Amino acid sequence: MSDITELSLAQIAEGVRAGNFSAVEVLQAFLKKISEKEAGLNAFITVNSEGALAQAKEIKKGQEGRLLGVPIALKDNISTRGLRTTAGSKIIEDYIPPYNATVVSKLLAAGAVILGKTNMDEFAMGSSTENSAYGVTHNPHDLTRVPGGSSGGSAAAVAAGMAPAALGTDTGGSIKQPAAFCGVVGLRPTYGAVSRYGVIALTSSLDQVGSLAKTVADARTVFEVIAGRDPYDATSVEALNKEPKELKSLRIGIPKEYFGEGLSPAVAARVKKVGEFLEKQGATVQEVSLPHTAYGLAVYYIITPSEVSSNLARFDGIRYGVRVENSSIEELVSRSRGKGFGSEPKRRVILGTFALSSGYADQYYLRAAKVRTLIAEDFARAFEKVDLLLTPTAPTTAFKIGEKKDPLSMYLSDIFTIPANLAGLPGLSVPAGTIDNLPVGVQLLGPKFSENMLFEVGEAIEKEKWS
Amino acid sequence: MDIDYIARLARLTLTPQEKKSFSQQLSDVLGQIEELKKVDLTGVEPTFQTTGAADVLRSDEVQKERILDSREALANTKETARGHFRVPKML
Repeated sequence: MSDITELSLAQIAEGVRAGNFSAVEVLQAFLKKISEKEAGLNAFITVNSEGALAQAKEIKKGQEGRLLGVPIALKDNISTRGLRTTAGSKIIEDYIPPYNATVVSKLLAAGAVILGKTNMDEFAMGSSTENSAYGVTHNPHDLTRVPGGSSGGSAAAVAAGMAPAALGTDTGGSIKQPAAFCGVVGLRPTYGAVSRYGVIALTSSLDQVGSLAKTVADARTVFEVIAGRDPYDATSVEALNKEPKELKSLRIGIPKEYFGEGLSPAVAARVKKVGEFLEKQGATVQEVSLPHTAYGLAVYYIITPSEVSSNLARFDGIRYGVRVENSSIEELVSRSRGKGFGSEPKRRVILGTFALSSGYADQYYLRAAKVRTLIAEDFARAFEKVDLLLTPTAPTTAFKIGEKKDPLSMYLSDIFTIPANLAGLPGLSVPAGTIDNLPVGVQLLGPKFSENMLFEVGEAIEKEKWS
Repeated sequence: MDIDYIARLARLTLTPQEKKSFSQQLSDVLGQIEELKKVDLTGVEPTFQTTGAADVLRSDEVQKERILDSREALANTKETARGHFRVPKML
């Protein structure tokens, strides 16, 4: 039999349905990969060996389901009933959710098997998976380097062949950037396209669940399974996916502001090369301007901590998680949080509390929210001229573990993913070969609900051989 | 920034070391954020969300499938008393 771990999701589902192999055999093939590779990578916080086996045993040939017998890894901020969910934090290290996130229910309904929970920066705050309370995840292409983050465990698991696909979450670039660093495809859908019910919240106005996979087709399959309006998430909407245009009639924009200081020249050259390739396919490529790009990071680092300071208020030591006893309830709560949270959540809670505090909210939060409008208008104007945008996903390839010590330099690795996220737009990171043996990704951005167009163009890019 | 005051508002106990390093790091971050003051925001409305949805309502009915029973609700707490969450005396 050919190696099951090399198959596409559709091939696995069809093989299980036809009885060529069983869901248990599929699961065992991936668990074997995990047993070979996980020790060097630390991509998982929890491998769901027993639970997955019980699920796989229930799946019989002849059943329907787009993901029949397909094992899927989930970022550990996605609630799974009865299966520990830590969000990468010590503060809920023994938390067992009493219910499934809607995306989990949808995966199960499509016949998927929950393979395990992947490592992540604590509460998805980070760009390298170094901020996890469960140790650093290593990049499968070079173990001395980071996998990106915060969905670094999901990206590494897919890149190493330990999972055929994974879910991640993306607030400032947490799917797209690790996908680029690990050489896999990463989709951040349009804000609202996928339910966030049961996903541990970071920044509610930005958080979105998406897929990571080896190919565009696989990332698309998972997206189609999890997308759609959910009555349990009032921000979710029915995705009205636009029909894609043909590549030869497509107008592609390259934003000039993305090619400034901080971008590696080799990455810049690769993006240009991808643009030339798309031109050869018949698309027209032109320079466009997104004049407020430079403010994206500053806006993000006001809006995110502000929402974080509110969302993380629920971790009080009383209903779940670390509890430090004290005769005063205020001290019990403060000390439990002080003991349970790591550095980055504390830093952001403090910054966000300050930004929202009396006398400062207008100066910081309201101002950031207004600049956010200008950033969104930049994109709207660009999409009057072009159908989609081509940019680098990240300014560099994967950096060394421990290389970025101060928070500001770490924040800079998301400069190309943040602006479109602030505008609620979908983005797809597609591998475009390697530079010095490290994967490089390009980012395709489109108007809301243009996922189908991103997939079409992404497939053209992945078919081409890049050096 | 008065870090003790902000930590109190956030109900977050910080070590002396954390107070020192956060004060420095946060003033660096706030320095970057000063950039936003350069932007002319006359007549610009704020963006708090991007779906454009407003007043998303549902019928006011109990959703039985979403109700946790008391055992499930208390399953993750360290301290319970007679089927309730136990907290220190507040009055």
